Amino acid sequence: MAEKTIERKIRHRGRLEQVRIYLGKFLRMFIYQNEWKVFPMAILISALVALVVRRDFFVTMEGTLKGSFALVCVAIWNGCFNSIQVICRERDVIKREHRSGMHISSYIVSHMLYQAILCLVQSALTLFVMIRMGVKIPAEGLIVSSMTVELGISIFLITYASDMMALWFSALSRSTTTAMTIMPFVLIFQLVFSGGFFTNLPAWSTHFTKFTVSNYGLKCINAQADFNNKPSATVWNAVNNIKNNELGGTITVGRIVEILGNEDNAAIKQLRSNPVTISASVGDLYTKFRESDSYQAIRDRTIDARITLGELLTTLETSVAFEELRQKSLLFFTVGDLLTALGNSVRETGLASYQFGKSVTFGQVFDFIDLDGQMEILKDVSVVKVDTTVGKILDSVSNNFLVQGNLDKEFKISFTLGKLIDLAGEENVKKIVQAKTAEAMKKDAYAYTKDNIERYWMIFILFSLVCASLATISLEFIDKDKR
Amino acid sequence: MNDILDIFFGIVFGTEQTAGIILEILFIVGLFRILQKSGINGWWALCPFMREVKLAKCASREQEGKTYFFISLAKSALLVISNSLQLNNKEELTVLILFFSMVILTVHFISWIYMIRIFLGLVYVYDINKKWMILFSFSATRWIGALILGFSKKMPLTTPEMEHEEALRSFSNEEIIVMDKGLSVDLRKRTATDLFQTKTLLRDIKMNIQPGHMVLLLGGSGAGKTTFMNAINGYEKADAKVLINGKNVYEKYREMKYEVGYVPQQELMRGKDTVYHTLDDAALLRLPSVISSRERLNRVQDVMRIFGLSNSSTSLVEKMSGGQKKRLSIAMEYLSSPQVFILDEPDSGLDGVMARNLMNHLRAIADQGKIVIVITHTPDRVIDLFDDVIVLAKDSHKTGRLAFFGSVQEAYSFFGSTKMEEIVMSINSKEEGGKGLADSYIQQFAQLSAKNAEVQNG
Repeated sequence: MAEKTIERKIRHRGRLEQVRIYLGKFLRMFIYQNEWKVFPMAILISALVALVVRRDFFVTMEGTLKGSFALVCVAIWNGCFNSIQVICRERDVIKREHRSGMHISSYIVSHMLYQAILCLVQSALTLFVMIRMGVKIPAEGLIVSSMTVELGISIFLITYASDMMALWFSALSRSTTTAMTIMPFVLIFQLVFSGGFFTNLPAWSTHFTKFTVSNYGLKCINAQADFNNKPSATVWNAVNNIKNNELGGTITVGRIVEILGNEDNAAIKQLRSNPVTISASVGDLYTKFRESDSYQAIRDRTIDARITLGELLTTLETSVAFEELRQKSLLFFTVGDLLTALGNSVRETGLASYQFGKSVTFGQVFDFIDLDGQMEILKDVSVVKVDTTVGKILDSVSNNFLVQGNLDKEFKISFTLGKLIDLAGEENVKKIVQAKTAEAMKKDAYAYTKDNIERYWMIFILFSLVCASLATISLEFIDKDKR
Repeated sequence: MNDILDIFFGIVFGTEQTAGIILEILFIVGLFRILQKSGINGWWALCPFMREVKLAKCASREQEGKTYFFISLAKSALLVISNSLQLNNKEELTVLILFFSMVILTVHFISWIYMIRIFLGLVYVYDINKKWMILFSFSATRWIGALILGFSKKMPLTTPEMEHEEALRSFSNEEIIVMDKGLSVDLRKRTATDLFQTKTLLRDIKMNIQPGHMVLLLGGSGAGKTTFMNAINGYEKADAKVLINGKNVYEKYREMKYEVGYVPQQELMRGKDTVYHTLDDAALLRLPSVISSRERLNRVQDVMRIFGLSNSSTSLVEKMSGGQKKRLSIAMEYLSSPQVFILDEPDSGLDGVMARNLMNHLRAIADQGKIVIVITHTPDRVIDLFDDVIVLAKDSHKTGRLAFFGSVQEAYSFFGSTKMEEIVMSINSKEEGGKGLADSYIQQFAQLSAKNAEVQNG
């Protein structure tokens, strides 16, 4: 057992050189310990997720939210399972090596580098699978020229932050059993407190979201996907799903009047305040006048022989005695409106100075001046324009004696939502519904800005460094382990 | 005010109801007596949280007691928090209280399991029927068990270790004569402290080991053999002075840690790495940085040849036999050619031939002028290879003490035995199947050492 004498020096390999030693060791482990399995696992998980999210990811708000959540879950899953066992499974070996001069910081830094390589490859594979499976990623990025590269950086940072978090838990755990017991809680915590996906969290618990990778991951991917400018499809899809369903039942006239008059309802109030302009021609008014009871009554009234036609018309237009007649309603106009139109027409023809010479009835006058003929000529002349609102029209209809007399009358109604939408125009309704729901879903955190994305990236880097530091501190106490 | 009182009683008595408080007082009375019977101050029974720690000590379930302490603490903290919750939103407050109640329920269940474990230990210690556990399992009935156990004439089979350091005898004040060559150990005390107590694991161990000696470290289970070895190599420091060739290991730990090679009991190596890479990485860590790659490679190859590993250099560690793994584990430490070699049961799991072969390797290392200290539980088959014997024994306070240090022949003469295994039998306690003579031998050896010191001092 001959042995060469080695000249002993105090200096041994420093931290940096030890990092190289351990990095080499971990890369060998990658081959011998089958750690390459994490890559096919990443491919399979990504493919499964892409199957579900491929159609709507980057297309609609809901699809983007669903896709980004799934993508963040894949990244967290990959990261956590990369490193959750790496320290605890060789804790005794680490203790022996620490006793032999290994620096804990070198060990952790070499793990940081090795895990970074794993995460980088996993992120690239995830992205590749997503694209191959048909997820349409926008072309241009905000920070780098390609959005694919930019998204890849985000996936890498999310995976790496989760990886470092699991590395810390691994450093805290004394055995693989402990680590694997902690793991489901960590994943559920990340899932529940992801912020954007489960929105109905109690207010007190929302503070937890500040400490989850999933929260910032979701924000980052959504910001990159330009979430705020995507259309929202949920409500419109829901409407589409029920648009052929039969709606209806028994309703009373009074109930309809009540519904249409209810200004507490925002939609009805909006509807009632809509302005409406109604115009009518002489023909419309005369037809109504002919059909009314007033027409026959006035035909039989006698006119004094000395009065001229002009005076007669002026009297009809202005006299208090005819006020009631003038106020008679002809749809949205009155008999007064019709008389004014008639008076103007007669004065223009020069017949205003004509004197009858004997007592005549209004019927004779109407026939003399060929009122029907005159009205036929003037029928297309626009008489009046009325600026009103839907509310006033509805009130007018509601106050109609026919309506008021039948308030308790019941009748059956049957319609579909689709028919109602068709009345308003499907494209119009779709545009309005999507715009309104998208507006409600917008968030500042999802804004497509360079600042936002850079901030999230910095958070991931900081999170990773803090976790790695905590792992180092935790492992520094390894000499306190029980033998 | 009532709420605060409820919380206070809840913490102190573990219940909020008046009837429960009365039962808890009865339990405390019983507990007071149980603690006294085990030589522990009975007033601990009045101290919330700590009383279970002390009860666990009586039941030889110290770890369970510590865990129960933390769980109870957490449970009380959760109770206080849930009682002081205030939120404007009533619905959210309800959800929060429900959530907390679920957590408290879980913690309560865990603490109940640990309490059961502690009482089960008590059943064993008092050697009573396990049916007693039915009484101890529920807070409504455990007071009956505590009162009966506390006031019966039945005494515990084992009593816990003495708690106070003052109970230990004073140290020997003699100074050790430091040697220029070899290993000098002057260990005054090695203690372990946790939240609850300070335990003395080792005390009063003094020795000088000559270079070139192969030393057998003997001792029963829990005598502190591994603790002693860790104290020598400086990884777990004691109140001690450890010198290798005149250099203080503790003061110059960064430099001196390479002078002590420690081979642990288990083969702590990465099974998925090759033999060559395992040794090469060990060489990179242990050898000085000025050594060139060529020199390092030669050193690794030399060591592989010495330990018969050359043919397996490309094999994965996990594929090797038990004997090969032991040799590889020793080779890793041998690379840096340390002055002191400490091996914790290197022959465990090896048959007689392989164990002899391995010990021959170690003898050859010692013959190069190095000190080799070996712990083994089968010393007689290789005793001819050893020069000295260290015997560590647990005294009546369960502290590891030096019962003998000297040559193999002197050991036989001192203990009046012809086999090393008989020596271990004589120092082991009666509960462990031994003769329980540890205190006697410790005292005899202390007197012998004092006499020798007087002779040396003239």
